[in-house]
Formats: sequence, C-alpha cells, structure tokens
Amino acid sequence: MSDTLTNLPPDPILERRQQIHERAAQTIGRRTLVSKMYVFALLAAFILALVPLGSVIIALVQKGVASISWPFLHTLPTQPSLISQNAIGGIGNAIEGTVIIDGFAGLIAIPIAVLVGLYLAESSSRVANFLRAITEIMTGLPSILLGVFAYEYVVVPMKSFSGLAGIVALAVLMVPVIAKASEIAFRGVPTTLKEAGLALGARNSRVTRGIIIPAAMPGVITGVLLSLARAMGETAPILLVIGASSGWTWNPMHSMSALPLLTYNYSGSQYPSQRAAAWGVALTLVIMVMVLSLGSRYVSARMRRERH
Amino acid sequence: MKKTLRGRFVVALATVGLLSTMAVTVAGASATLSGDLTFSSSDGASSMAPAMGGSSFDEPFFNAAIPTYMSFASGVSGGNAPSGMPLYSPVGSTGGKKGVIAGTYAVGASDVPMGTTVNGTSLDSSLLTNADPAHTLNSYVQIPVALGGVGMMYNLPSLQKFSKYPVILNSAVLASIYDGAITKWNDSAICKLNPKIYNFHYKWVTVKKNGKKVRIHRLVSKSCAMPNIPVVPVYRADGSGTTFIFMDYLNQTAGASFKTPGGTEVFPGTTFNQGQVPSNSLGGQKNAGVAADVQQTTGAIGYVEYSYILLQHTLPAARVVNAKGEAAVLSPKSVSADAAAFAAVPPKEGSNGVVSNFSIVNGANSGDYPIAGYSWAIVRQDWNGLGSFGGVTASANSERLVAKFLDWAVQGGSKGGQTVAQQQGYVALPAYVTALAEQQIGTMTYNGVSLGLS
Amino acid sequence: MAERIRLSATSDRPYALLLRGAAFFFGAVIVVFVWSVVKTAWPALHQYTYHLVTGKSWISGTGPYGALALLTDTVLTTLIALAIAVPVGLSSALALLFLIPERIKSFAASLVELLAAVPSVVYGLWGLVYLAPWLSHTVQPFLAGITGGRWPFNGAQEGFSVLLAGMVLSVMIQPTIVAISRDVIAVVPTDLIEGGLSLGATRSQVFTRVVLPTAKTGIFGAIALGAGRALGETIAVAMVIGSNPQLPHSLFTTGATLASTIATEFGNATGNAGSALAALALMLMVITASVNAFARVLTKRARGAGV
Repeated sequence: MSDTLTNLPPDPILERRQQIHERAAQTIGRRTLVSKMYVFALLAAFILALVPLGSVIIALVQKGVASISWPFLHTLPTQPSLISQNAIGGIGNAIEGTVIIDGFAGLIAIPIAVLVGLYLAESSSRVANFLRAITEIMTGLPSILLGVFAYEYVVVPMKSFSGLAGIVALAVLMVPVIAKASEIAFRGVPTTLKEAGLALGARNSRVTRGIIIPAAMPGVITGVLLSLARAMGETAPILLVIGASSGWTWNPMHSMSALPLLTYNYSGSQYPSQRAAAWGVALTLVIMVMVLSLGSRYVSARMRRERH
Repeated sequence: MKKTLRGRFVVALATVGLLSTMAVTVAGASATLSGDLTFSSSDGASSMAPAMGGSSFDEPFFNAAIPTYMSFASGVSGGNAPSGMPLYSPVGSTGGKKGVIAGTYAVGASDVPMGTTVNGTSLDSSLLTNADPAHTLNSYVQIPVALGGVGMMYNLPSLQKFSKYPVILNSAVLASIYDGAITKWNDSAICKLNPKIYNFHYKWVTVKKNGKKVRIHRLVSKSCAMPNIPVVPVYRADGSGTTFIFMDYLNQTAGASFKTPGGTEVFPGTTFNQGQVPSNSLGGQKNAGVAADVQQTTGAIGYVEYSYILLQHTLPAARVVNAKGEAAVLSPKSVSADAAAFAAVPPKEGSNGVVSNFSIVNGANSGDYPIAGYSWAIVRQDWNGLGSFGGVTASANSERLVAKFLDWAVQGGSKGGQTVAQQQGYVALPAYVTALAEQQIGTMTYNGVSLGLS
Repeated sequence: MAERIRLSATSDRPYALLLRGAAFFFGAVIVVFVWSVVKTAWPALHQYTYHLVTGKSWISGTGPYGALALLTDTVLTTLIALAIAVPVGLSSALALLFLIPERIKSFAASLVELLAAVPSVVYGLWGLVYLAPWLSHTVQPFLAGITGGRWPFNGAQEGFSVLLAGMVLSVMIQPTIVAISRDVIAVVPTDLIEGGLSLGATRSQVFTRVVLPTAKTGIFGAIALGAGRALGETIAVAMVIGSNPQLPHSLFTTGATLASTIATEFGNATGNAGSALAALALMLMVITASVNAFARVLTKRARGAGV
C-alpha cells in the first residue's frame, strides 16, 4: 500500500502549485518594491497636482494683500497718467458691477433653470431626452461663444455696450448648469415619497411643491451657488460686451465694470501700479468666488444634516 | 402655514424671474443715474455718459484730458457744464472706427483717418459697407487731436554699460527685423550702425617714440558688443493705427525692400499678420501689451507711442536714422521738428471726406525723429435721428457738449487740452492743425443747423 | 374614484404647461444662440468656403481668413495639456480613492475641487507673471539643453508659447479629469479588486491590470471632457500664448487658438473680419459640442454598465 503511494506519479496540479509558490517567493521582493514605487509615484503625482494651487494661492496672497485696503475696495478707479502714475484709485465699481451682473443673471437663470430641471426630471419623452443631451453639451461649450451671442443680440441693437449684455450672456451660461444640478437633485427624491403624495390624491404640481422641491432643495441650492460662482469668474463673455466704466453704474443699460475684466485689463497695463493692483483685483474676485463655492458646500451640508 | 410657504415656492421662483426681467427694463427706462459719470444738460432732456474709445496711442492723452476737462467744467457756471464723462476705452484704432460706425461710441479715435486708401484698397471698405448705407465717409467728421512719436523700445540688459548710447537703427534694419531677414542682435548691419557699442581690447606695448622707449596702451582689436541673442519683434495683434504709422514709415523709407518673409511687398495697414512677421515674434494687445511684452522678453523690440516709453523707466528707445542721416532721439522736440517738415502740405479733408497729407513720417528736417503721426477723433457730423447711441441720447444739446469737449481738447495755451497732451509726452498740435481741427468741429450740425460753438 | 384622478390630472394642466413652457423657452434660446453664430458666420462661409478651415494664413482685418494655424494650435495646446494632466489626474484620482488616509480624504478632495473654483483669468495672470519667466529662464533652456535644441524644443525661448498655454491648460483641466475619473473608478466592483488582491497581486498590479482596464471607458470619457474644456478655454490662453496666428514649428513657438483669436480680435473686427471670427466661433462650437457629446456617451456608458 505504502509502496504504491510513494510510487504515485507526481500530481501535475500540486507541482504547478509548487512552481507558483516558488516563483511568487522569488518575485515577491521585486513586486512589492515595484508596487511601493508605484504607490509612491501616485502620491507624488497627487502632490504635484496641488503644487499649482499652492503657487496660485501664495501668489495671490503675497501680491494681492499688499494692494487691498478699505479705500481700494470702496472707491472709484482713477486713471494713472505720466505725472501721477500711482493714482489708480479703487475697485468699488467693479465689485458693484460684478455683483449686479452676476446677481441679475442669477435672477433670470434660476427660475427658468429650475423649471427646466423639473421638466427633465419628470419627463422621459424623446423631446426631453434631446433637450437633456443639449443641456449637457451646453455646459461644456466655451463661454466666449455666449459673448458673441450677446454682442449680436444685445449690443448691436442697443448700439451700446451694457451690463445687460453681460447679464444675458451669463444667464444663458448658468441655465444649463443649474438645470443639470437640479435635475439630478429632483431625480434623487425617492419615488416612494412622490407616490405617497399622489396616493393621497395630490396633483402633480402639489407633489412637486410640497415634496419634491423641499426634498431636492440642498442639491438645487448647491447647483445655484456653484453656477453663480462660475459665472462670477467668467471673463471671456463679458470682455466682448460690457464696455468700460469708471463710475458707479447702477443701471445695467450702460457700460459697467467687473472684477474679472479689470484683472485682465490691469494685467496688461503699461502702468506698473496697475499691473501690481491686478493681483489685488484677482484676490478680491477669488475671495468672492470662494465664498460662493464654500457657501454652497456649507448650505447643502447643513440642510442635509437638518433633515436627518 | 409652512405648507403654504412651500406651496408658493414655484410661483415665487417664477415671479422673481419675471420681476428681475422687468427690473432690468425699468432701470433702463429711467435715465437719471445716481453717481454715474454723466453730462447734465440745461433743458434736462438728457443726462449722458458719452462713450469714447479707439486708438491706444491716444489713451494716455484722453485719460488725462477727460478728468482735467471735468475739473475745468465744474468751475464753469451754467447748466451746460458736463458733470462727468466715462473713461476712454483703448480698444485700438480699428475698434474705434468700428465703434463710431456701429454707434457704440459717441467719439471714436484712430491714428489713421477713416477712408484711407492704400495700394488701391480702402482700409475701411468693410467698415463702411457694413454701416447704414445712407452714411458715407461724409457723414463723419475727422478731427486731429494728438501728435506723437512712435518709439522703438527694446530690451537688451547686456547693454547696460552702453546706456549712454541707445542703439541706433535705420529703416532698412527695422524692415529686416520685422520681415525676418535679421534674426540676431549682433547682425553686422546693426553693428555697423552702432560704432559706440563695441568692446575695445587694449594691450600694453612698448614703442619707440623720438628715440625713447615708451609703454602705451594700444588698441589691438575691437568687437561688436551687441549680444548674440535672437531678435524678438513684437507687433500689435489688434487693428492699430500705431502699426499703420510704423508700417507707413517702413514702406516709405525701405520701400519695396520691406517684404514679408515670403517675399511679397508689404503695404501699410493696421495689422501685421502671419506671413508678414518672423515666426518667433510676439503679438501684443494695444500699446500697453506691446510695452509689457518687450519688458518681459529679453531681446525683444516693439513699437509704442512715446508716453509708453517714458513710463518704462528701465527700457530705452532706439535712436532712428532720419532722412538727413542723423541718429535721432525720440523726444517731443524731434517729433515736433518732424511735423514741421510737412507744414507746407498740411493735412486736409477732400470733398469726399477722405483726409489726405496726414502722413508725416520721415520728414526732411534736420533733427527730426522720423516715426510720428497725428491721431484723429471721429464723430458723426449730424446727430439728428440717431436716437440713443454710444451712451448718449442724440440731441442738439448732447452733440454740442461733445463738440465742446473736442474743441477744448485741440486748443493749445495754458488752459487747452494740448497742454495736457504735452504733459503726457505728446507734442502740441501745430497751429495750422488746430485750425483744421476747429474748422472740422465747426462743420458739425444738428438737423442741418450749426451747433453755434462760441 | 377613477373619475376623480382624471379630474385632478386635467386640472394640473397649468403645471405641465409651465414646465413645458420653460423647457421650450430654453430650447428656443439655444436655437437663437446657435442661429446667431451661424448667421453672423454666413458671409464668411459663403465667401471662403472650405478655405476657412484649410487656409494657412489668417490676416485679420483684410483677409484671407484661413484657420488652419488656429486649429492646429488649438489641438496642440490641448494635447500638451492632456499629456500633463492625464497621468497626473489619473494618479490623483487613484490616490484619492485608495491611498489617502480616510481622515483627510474629503479635505484632499476639496483641495482638488478648489482648483476648479479659481477663475480662468487668475490662472492667466499666474501664467503671465510666474510661469512665463520660469519657462524662459529655466524650463525652455533645460529642454533645449537635454535635447540639443532639436525639434520640438527648438526656437526662441520667450516663455510665451504653445507650451506655456498647454501647461496652464493642464492645471485648469486637472479638476475635471480627477473628479470624473474618480467617479468612474469608484464604481469598479469591489469584488474585482478584492479578487485581484486575494490572488496575491500587489496594489500596483491591481491598479494597472484590474482597476484601470475596467474603468477604461469612463476614463476616456473623463479625458474627453477635459479636452473639451481645454479646446474652448479663452482668456487664460489669450494671456500666455503670444497672440501670433501661425503654424507651430516647435513647442516654443508663439501661436493663437480659435478661442483666443475671437477674444483678442473681436473688439475691432467688422464686416468680413467679424464674420470670419463668427466662423471661428462656429468651428469651436462644432468641435467642443462633438467632443462633449462623445464624452457624455462614454461616461454614461461607464456609469450605466456599473463599472
């Protein structure tokens, strides 16, 4: 019996397993080394990805803080000249213009966008699918195209550069972004909730008002704030249409000033004082954009917490 | 209660949208603006903020002249005194002409008069054909407002020790730089023009002099000190009258030898373009962008209005060889000498509205700097029926206010606009050019009636 | 009962109309938007036909208008941006998902999102003031040095170049690539990853042979989305590329993209020149819309398939 056992032909599976074990043992050192290097490379790449952010922030703080002061923030710009090269004044009207243009664009875009979002969330007809695809593509279109659009349809007929043209361009820019975000938020509302409402005999509109919108609110608000933040930083569309102003223009039918445009203009100025101030303008803009971006996170987090 | 609030949400959103649209419209309807820079006119018909823009050659002038005028005006009693004007937008000469034709500017400015024809084609054919067909060149008044020189600003830090001797260039070299024939700063053509920018090598040698042995420091060799680095020509990427003045100079002096790298003769225009400039050149936005590009790039050279050079304390302007063969330094004096060379043939407007004799490059006077030009303000001759345009509502009153500003701007003397121009590095307009300007402003009418400027 | 439901459904018409109305209004705006670009571009399309795309020379103001150089520069800057952003972005996404300690994960993720919140004009300013001198003093001499100044690292070292534009773009599209690829990698089934690990594969082997191949479609979608953004970026590119429309001879040459040309020339373009710029806008619209549509199909397929 024992004789037959020992004389058995070698088990191919066992042998293969043995080989694999040996091979694994031989290569384990190399493989772990490669893996460690790989992991190290990934982490290094991640750090590398953050280097530009760090550099931008350091640059903004280093160069921007110096030019920001209370008068800088609330006074009007003045034009430096050869004899008074440092008289650049403030950026009060640019802040005001940015807020007005962005705010009105938001006021026009939000209701339309939320309704479009609702429509996209509730309908799956062919038309809705098509509109959904178009909306998604719109979110990726270069913003300069909207500048061309606003120029042809607002500036040319009005025969004047105006804040209104900027408002129109930014509103069209914002609608797809908000619509997309709110569609996702509306779709995220559990069907059971909707059905419960409908089962109680409520109409669709009632269910929307009473159930869907409140439930989707955090998502909608996040989308709104993010799109406001994005629109606030846009330079390309307003570059073509809002003109230039050195006064407090409260009327959007006139030329206005805006922070991103001022940053662009100052960065190429012949006056060193304005080139230095470009960083102050940029820092102000970044702070305003960050307040909106971070605000959106805070609001949505807070509303979610309150619900649960 | 809570439910009703929620219930109204959609309605609220919709109304907010509607209201905001209405608010924009209503805001537009109300003409009085608090705090905005406006004219306020005696009859209360309009309050206006006439938009001006165009040539960046003129930017330092207009931006200094507007506040000065406003402070003068505030001392003037009477309701017609303007209370404010918006800043000048330096969008480039072509942009200025486009703006005044499209009506986005009440006043446009260009360094090359509208309707100028070069080599058989009008520079503005596409501008005017696109405008209202009822308006020809004669619908506009063109007013010379500034006279200035165009400097060749360069960035060669290695020439620090030769700072007493700004680089000398002539039109052939400039043409070769801009058509790519000269690619290095130590090109023999540049070295030849700059005998002072050489390194001299001496050696102590012993020589016999009157039978005595003396050691003297003898020049054994000299070498061109121009750096062996590439020339980076900087040009204007946007439509520019400064470019026109520069190309006009090259075309008139270097003539047919000013060619594209491809070999076609280059005629003056408002843009340099691909194929006309070497591949390593940089395109700058406006005068300011060219100045900034030159400042940031070692080996760069660019053409900018004089005040832009005065601003860059660090960078010199090249001396340019004039028609008399002198190496001329750019200064108000040398530009003035250049303009004076053309006193016998002053610029004038023909019956078809075309301005002739405006070019003043390469004057034949001694001591003149050859690259210079006038800049022109362009306004509609008769504002009747224009409605609201360029930040104003057209009326005899608003037209008169704009005409008054321009009339002031072209005046010399201690209180005139040209004094402001001189402070900014321009040259005061010669008397015969001011006279032309006043005559032009005098042709402005409202509904066929003269504005009656006193 | 049935009667009642139908009743309430009919009386709900205003609601349905409101939604449809908004959707219709927005659709109409899009149509007008596209139409405005096509209409303005029409004279140039009519006059120059295909030469608008294949013509080598772009002479602003007078014509001829050929956008070949602009198209080439647009594609080239995007490729440079992808060459930098894809490896870095994918690595960051993997690091964020699998390597960063749980405690700081959300903080690290929000740092990457912060990159997306910085306005493009600020990146332009940063590129103009910081990167351009660094490039001309350090990077370009170094690249030319190690290659002996051979193509594509030949030419003047001015800082402003398609290379600089590509580098600035790479920073700007980074967050898009990280965010989307992180999403699609996150849905790679845990079974697959654990299966790989249980077979004795190291982490690097799991990443390269399991995770990335499985998430391939979605990652291509992320790359396409990033490319879409790079193709259309305007202001930052206009500030650093040197505004010189020419076919690139090397990575160091100055150039101009479709979008940057519209931004820099639109202010003084009239008549035909304006129409030619609108034609550029139309090309840009067609290109970015196709790239985006392609990207959406890929990412959707990736998410739909559960991987």
